[in-house]
Amino acid sequence: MEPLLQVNDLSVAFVEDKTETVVVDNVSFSVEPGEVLCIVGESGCGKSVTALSILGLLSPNARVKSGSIIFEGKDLLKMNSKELDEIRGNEVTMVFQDVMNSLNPVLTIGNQLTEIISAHMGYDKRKAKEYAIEMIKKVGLADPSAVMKKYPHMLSGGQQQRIMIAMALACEPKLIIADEPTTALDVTIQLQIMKLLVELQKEFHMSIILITHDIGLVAELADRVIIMYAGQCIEEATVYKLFDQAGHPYTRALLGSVPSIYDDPDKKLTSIPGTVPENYYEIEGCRFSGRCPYAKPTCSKDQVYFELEPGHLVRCHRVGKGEIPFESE
Amino acid sequence: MKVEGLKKFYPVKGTTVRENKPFVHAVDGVDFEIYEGETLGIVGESGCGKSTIGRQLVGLEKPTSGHVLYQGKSISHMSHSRLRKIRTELQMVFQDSTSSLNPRKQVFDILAGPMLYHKIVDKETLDQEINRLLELVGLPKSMKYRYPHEFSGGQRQRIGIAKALLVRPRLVVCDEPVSALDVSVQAQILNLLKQLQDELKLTYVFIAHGLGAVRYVSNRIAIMYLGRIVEIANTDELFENPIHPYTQALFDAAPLPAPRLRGRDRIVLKGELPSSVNPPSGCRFHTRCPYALESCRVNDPMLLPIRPDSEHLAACPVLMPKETRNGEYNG
Amino acid sequence: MVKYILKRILIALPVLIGITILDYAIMSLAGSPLEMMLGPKTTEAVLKAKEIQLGLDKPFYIQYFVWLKNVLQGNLGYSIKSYQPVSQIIGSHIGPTLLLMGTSMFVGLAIAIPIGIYSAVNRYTKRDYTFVTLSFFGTSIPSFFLSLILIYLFTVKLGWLPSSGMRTAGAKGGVVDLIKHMVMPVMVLAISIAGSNIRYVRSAVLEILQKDYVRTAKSKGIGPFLTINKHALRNALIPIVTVIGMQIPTLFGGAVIVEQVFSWPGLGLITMNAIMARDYPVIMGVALLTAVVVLFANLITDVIYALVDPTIRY
Repeated sequence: MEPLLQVNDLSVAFVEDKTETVVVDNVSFSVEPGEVLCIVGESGCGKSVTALSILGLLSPNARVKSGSIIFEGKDLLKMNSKELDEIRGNEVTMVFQDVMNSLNPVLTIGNQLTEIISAHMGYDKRKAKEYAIEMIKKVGLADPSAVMKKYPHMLSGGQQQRIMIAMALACEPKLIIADEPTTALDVTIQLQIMKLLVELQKEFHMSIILITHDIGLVAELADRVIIMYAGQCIEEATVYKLFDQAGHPYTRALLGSVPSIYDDPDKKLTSIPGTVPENYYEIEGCRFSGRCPYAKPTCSKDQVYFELEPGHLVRCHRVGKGEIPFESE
Repeated sequence: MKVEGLKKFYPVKGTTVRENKPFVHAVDGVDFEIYEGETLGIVGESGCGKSTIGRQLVGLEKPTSGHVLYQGKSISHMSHSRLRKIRTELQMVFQDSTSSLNPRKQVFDILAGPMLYHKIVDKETLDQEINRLLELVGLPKSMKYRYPHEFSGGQRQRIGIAKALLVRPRLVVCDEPVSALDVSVQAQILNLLKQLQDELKLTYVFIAHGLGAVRYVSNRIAIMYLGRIVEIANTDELFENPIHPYTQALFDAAPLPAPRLRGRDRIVLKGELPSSVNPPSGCRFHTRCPYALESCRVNDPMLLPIRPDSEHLAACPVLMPKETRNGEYNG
Repeated sequence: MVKYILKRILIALPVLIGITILDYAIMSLAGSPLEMMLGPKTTEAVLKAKEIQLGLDKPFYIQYFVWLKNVLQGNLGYSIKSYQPVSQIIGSHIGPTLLLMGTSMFVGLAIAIPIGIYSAVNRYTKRDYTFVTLSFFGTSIPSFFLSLILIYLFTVKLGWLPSSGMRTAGAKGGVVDLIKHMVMPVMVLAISIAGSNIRYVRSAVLEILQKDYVRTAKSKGIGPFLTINKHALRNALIPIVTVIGMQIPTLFGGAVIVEQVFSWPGLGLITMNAIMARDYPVIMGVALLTAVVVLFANLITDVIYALVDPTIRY
């Protein structure tokens, strides 16, 4: 089956005063119809920039240096603004992280909802309004007609995020990109929102790209996972594989560093020493080697992103050679 | 430290001068104790009052009513000059060290200021002390003349911790010290905090909304909802045997890093957090509680031991173990 | 909302009084109008009589209270120079000033707003730099200089436009004649207004364009026109309205220099003349008017601000 979205060798750089910093470095992955793909990484790894490139939403000082993003046979990176607008909000939509700032404060909820419906579904004003009310109901908000007349600041964070989801689903897209949609929300609200998303995903048979740094959330929602570090993809696997037998040392350390209430009480948290080096683009070889407990001189050679086993990709030659033993959970 | 009947209300902004001025009931009647050398975790979601309590504990704000007693003396109604002497013993580590560090001062000056003011060291030993402090929190001495923005988030948090420790406190309130940090850095800071507690014999109050982190560092944990403590127990006991429905919901809501357990049964709370200006009648949690009975709308439950002589307290007459269910109610 | 407005008006009154006191104090420092009346034929006695007649022999604070008392009774006094009632003088000159400034403001903003938006959207392009540079010229060129250049070009060289007054003397009048008289002064003023406002608009829009909700709008595929003009502009208008509101008082102050150069019979002209002649009542009349206008403009701006921005609670 053809993947719904295929990203090939995407590279994005930020330009400031004539200096270029590459923040996304030859990233490739695909999204199948109906699946949930999680892109995981810490701040600065390039996951948000990757997501924004798909719909051409990068800030003016960012430049796509290479690559292609194929959606339904067409390269999104080569489309002009008009063609992209047919796809945005319609076939591919996005839910953003900081929901408080992602809704326009001076327009009513109803206004912001109906405009996306009018733009793509060709309904008249009245029908668009009815449909908007349906969507508000669908995302679990009470008294939809009253909500239509409200302004964003009158709603709580959780309610605002539901509205964002309503906007993202209104035109029954094939793909939703959710960039840390619940980071700013309380954990009980997060659970509500995530359940809603999963329910609607199944109902509409959509694919979701979920960007997050929350490993727990990944375990709850993902079908497949991609781990990013310093602008590169360093591991890709099904969610079960990832938690059972993560390959890359960074992934393993990441999984071990999150305190969970289900851990053994005496478990010590693995912390990764140091921080992501500043000019990681200029590093020869493995970008993680400076912090890796398994680093060897051979790590200073450029690392190949290869298939360890079917469906499991790793960017670590030592893992490939079996030099780093797996611990089974 | 002992907290008795602590209440803190804030007037709602923008209201005109009228009789029934609405208040935000940030903390609405809280009692607990903090024992020397332990770490008490306070967990709750937004609006529960945990940060407000933190500020009352170190004397940053005065309560609306009730007391905070430190070593038997009430610091809530102490004169400014007497409080000043005690302040060095009660310190706080803030969530966002980026905004709590003066961006125009070098780290050296940020740390030197309080030390000289409180005469902890004199000018000769100052440099030595600062080096020692930086080493203690894992920062390179070579960076002491840099400015905060030249450090990473995790490093700034370490500076914040150093700042709290430099006056040789006995109690440190950590208000969401790791929430703003990346996951791998969180682990570093949590480990550091634990290590420092052992080395310096500190008492911690650890305020957070992340259960996993709180569990990792705390000996006892208090769960808060809408200005009240709804459950408090030793960490292990709490996780083995959570009584209050909100505690259970919180645990259930924490994402579990085990994909095979996805479909498990859990409590998904309905609805939104009620307004703390007008808290619900009776038990504050009843509007969202899956176990709520008619009586819950009327009776405001007290925090009671779940068994006689138990140190595990919960405020839910419905789910208490049968023996203690002849409960007493508030008001 | 009504309470808000009433509260603001209540606060404005002491401010108004304060302004007038300050105005009077500063004015009296400038010297007595009597000095301007000195001529070869005036004697001491005549001057003294004049002084008593005009009430200028009393200390200035007494003069102020006299003035204030009169104002509260609706009497703005009489011009020392022309003996006409101040209210009449102001009344007959306010019209032309409003006409001139109003038109200039309109033209200036009609230029500034679209250019400002275009510049912000196409930031750092050649056109953007061109517009910003032009706007700098607009604000920097001294108005008298520009006026003289235009007069030289359009009156002296080309003979297309009249260089002074509001109407051609002796002619029938009519709208076309009026417009011909207005073109040059409006151009000078509009260029200056446009110059400063282009940059305000540009930076207001620029700041809004960075906001997350503009990105959300873009992600919805509603198209650039709606994204900019509905989502961005409505938010950018908030600071722009504030800035424009602050420029409203100038509508009344008049462009003193431009009115002088083009002999436009407006408030600016008479204010200038009154200052030179130390004509207290006229100066105070204009000062009072300006103060009222400034306070009123601030109030209107705040009200519009509260109306346009739903997050503001008053």
